[in-house]
Amino acid sequence: MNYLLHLTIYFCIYAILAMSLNVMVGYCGKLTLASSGYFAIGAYAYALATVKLGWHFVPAIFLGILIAALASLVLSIAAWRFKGDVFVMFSLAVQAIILGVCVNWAVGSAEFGTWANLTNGPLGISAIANPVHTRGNFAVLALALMGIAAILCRLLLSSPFGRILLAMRDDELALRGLGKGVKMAKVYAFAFSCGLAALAGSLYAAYLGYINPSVAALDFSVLWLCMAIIGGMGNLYGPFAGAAILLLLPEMLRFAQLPTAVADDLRLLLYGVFLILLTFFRPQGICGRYRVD
Amino acid sequence: MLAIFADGFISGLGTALLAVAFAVVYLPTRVFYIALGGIFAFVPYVVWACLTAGFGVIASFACGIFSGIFFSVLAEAVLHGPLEQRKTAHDGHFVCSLGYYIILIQIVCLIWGTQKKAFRLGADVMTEVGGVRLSLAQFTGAIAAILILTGFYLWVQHSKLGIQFRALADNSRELALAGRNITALRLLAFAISGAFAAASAIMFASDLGFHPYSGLDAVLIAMAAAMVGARWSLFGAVGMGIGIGIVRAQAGFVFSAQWQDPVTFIILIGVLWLQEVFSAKRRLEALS
Amino acid sequence: MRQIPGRLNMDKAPASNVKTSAPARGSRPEGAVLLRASGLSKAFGSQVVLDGVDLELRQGEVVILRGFNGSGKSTLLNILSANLEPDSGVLELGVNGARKIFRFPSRWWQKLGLKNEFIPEFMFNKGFGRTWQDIRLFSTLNLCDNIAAAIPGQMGENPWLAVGRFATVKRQERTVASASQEELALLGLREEGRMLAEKLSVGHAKCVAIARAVRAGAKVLCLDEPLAGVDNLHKKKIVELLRVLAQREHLTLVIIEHSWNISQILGLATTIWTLEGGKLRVEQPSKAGSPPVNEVSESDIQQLGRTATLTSVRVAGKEASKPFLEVDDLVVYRGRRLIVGDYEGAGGKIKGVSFTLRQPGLYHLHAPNAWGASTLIEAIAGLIPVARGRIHLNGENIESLPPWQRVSAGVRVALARANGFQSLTVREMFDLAQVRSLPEGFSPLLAKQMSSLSGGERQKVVLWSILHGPEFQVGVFDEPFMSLDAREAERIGDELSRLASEKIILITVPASTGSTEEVIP
Repeated sequence: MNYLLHLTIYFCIYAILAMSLNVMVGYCGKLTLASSGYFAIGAYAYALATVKLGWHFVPAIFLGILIAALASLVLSIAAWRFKGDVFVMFSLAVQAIILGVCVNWAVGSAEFGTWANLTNGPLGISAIANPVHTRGNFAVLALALMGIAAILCRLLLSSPFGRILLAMRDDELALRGLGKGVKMAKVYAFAFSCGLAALAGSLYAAYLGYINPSVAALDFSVLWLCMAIIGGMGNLYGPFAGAAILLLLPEMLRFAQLPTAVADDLRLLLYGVFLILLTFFRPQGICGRYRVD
Repeated sequence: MLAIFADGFISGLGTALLAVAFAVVYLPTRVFYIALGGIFAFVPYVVWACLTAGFGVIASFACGIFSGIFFSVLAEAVLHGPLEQRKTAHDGHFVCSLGYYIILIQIVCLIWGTQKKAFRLGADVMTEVGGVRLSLAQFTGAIAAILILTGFYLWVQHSKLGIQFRALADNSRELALAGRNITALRLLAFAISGAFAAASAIMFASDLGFHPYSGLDAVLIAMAAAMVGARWSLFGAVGMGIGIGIVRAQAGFVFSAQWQDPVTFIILIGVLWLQEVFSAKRRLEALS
Repeated sequence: MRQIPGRLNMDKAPASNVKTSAPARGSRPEGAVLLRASGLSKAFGSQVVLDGVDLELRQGEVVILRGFNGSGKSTLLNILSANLEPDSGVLELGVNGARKIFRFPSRWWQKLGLKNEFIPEFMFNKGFGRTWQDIRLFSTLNLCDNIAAAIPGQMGENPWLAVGRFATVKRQERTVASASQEELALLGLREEGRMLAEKLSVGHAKCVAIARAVRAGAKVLCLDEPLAGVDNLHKKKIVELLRVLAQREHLTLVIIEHSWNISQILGLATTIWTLEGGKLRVEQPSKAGSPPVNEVSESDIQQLGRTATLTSVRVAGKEASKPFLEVDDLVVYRGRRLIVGDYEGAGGKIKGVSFTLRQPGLYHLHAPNAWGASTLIEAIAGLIPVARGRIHLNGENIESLPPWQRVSAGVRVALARANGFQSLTVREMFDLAQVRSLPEGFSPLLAKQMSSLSGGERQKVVLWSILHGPEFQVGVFDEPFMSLDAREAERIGDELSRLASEKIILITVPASTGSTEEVIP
């Protein structure tokens, strides 16, 4: 039972991440490798707010989302001008910078949480309390947050705003020629996407109780991008398919009685293979509408 | 002062090799060859396995280079070539390359684990060159890199095949219309890319040791340098690579070793931005 | 709740007591000046396209903008819609009394994007809309959404309102959707609301694109070749649509069109602008010269669909013998868009392109812009795969061969605006092309890099490297005379005529030349 709750919580975290990527990649059409950076912003903001400032759950989460949304401006401004490869490069740079900040904003001697040592470096931040005390309650909380995120996604993406994003993805110049502003649309979409990633990060921090700079690692960005592509993007169901696959694959491998380390590597290996197969045979992913080709 | 410059210059040479590896595929094919990171990670392990099995140093290095060529040519033959036949868009190539990258890294993890390794060739002996202290590994690596880059430059400027290669990087469609087999030339491009990536990987691994995720930042920085520099020519990438190495070393000196990479990235984005702003005369592009 | 702007009433007759303010044909309209430009200049590299263009657009005018290909029509349109910045000049907007002046060249901070109002959205908000040569509907959206996306005043486009007032937004969505449906019904596409835009035939797509721009609220509509590549039935529809826009909805129109289509809209026009030599000439419709008549003796014309034709030019002496290059039911896509071939009906079967070239022979392909001639040429060259159909060369199928094998089989292709290899020298280019003998006049150029040559010189190098390269059987040249000076064009024209007495030479003809005689100088 405990294990099932654990899976449920992780499913919610992955689903929220997949929704985040669905907005930026599936609807705005911009491949990004910066998601782990914004995930880390959410995790660290939540950790610092609760551990150092003593804030409660909801305000701490909002803090994370707010900071991530502001930080998304870097990507939005890049997206105003750059396409394709250069944008991916930008997102890589943003991720590297956030990782660098997480690892390095620390001076050994100073007390953590102060401006001299904000992130405690590689030591990470521990003793983050579970706001609802039990795992069962946390699972319910996670499901609730995932539900809210899903409702927000549905409201936004099936509205005229969502249509503007799709039209912008198809032909931005034609859309501008009809008098529709695209700059603010990008800002809002990216802020929403990064906010969702931060929400997932906060959940993660609250559940695990401990975070360190590895949450900002590029590998996670790559993994979550894989998840989103395999599940499918450009509609409302793809993210859930992607999260389910990411979750269940190691479980299925576990049945094969493999040691955990090998199972992890094998799972990633299978992901790589899936990506290649999908590009050749089903570019829209399992359940998606947006074709990555 | 000179030591830092020399350090930066040498690591810049390694970055330059990697930047050329990226540019040599990117320019003719526009494929964002992120799988190069996987090859970069794989090659030192091949060398290490050969050394452990008793091969000599030269033979092991040669095996490493061949494995780099092999994996790279495989990428074109099995993945990017067929995708190009179907006229897949740019994102499709990127996702495929990402998948290949993941596969390579995970194979390394599965076979050899994730601990850091080193070649143990006794090349850590320090020598002094022109008043600067360098390890033997650094010194020989630098010489080799300079020889390879110079050789490549001469080949590309003066040999018949080299001219075709330059034409390929310039305008592969036009070359096909001129009657040249660009499928074969593309394979050559990928082979050269693999060889250069392998050389770079060996150079870094000899100096700093290696693990599956070791070169990731190096690869990313090299790719960024390539994209910035390659707008001018193949050798713009070389210049940028070396420049980045020097900048990085200086950044490490001024800020601290840990802020090296973020600062380098910030500088790179700045250069990219300025490049875009001043080169895009037709900012609001109007397609004709 | 915001109002959705007024509807296009195409089938309602105007009430008799409503005075139409559209000016009588032939008279100079006296409406307010909407736009005035002076001294507009634009050069691409060394090629000067616009050289001090002055113009004035008044309310209620219907302007036809004509000129040869490359004369700068699209460039001028792109400038007027803020998609392109001119090198110098002044653009004045005077709409509703509010004036806005743009002076070029713009200041450095504007180039960086700060405080730069010369953007497409700004022009549109002042009422200036446009359509595109290549239509540019939103391909993954269906037709209903394509029009709905354009309608202004939608609360739901603001994400805060989309979430916060979702019930209101939903209601407005329904109104917008039904307005789009009505629009489609007026265009004869009632049942096709849910069809994806990429599956629509060109004729229908152009109608939808015009409706989209009008629905978005344009008061001045600049149309880039609305009749190009459209079959006759849809041409009538589009002309009728334009008539309604001009006379009933009182839009001001600027229509770019080609000689053979101009006659169809001459009845609507109040003014003719002619672009020639970088300068604009303003004329009244009755005074403007009649478009050049096609003087080719109709010996052998093959229809390629959507008004494109392939004409055989009799070369003195030789009678064409056998069919050598046969293209059979060719269908070519770029990504998901159908380019070569057309849909029969709305979303029905696809009809491919077919034609035969006999050896020896000289052929001219006349196709409107955005018809897909360049794509057809690339498909013959092997640069783009064919989705359906066959290409026979001397009895053998070559459609699955890669480009270099087609070259060995004897097909040489020169693409339009070919630039060769920028980083190679001319000598290296000739070596690469296996040029047998050096054409005269090239010695001074040999050591120069291609990138340092002018567009015309580069074109020259590319063409001669084919003409003096290994022997070929079929030579396909896409707009070869563009950017060449008269003397050079004559030389190449002579060489092509000479070759046409033994081989097959296919040349694409720039769309606005009516007479074939003008093509080969």
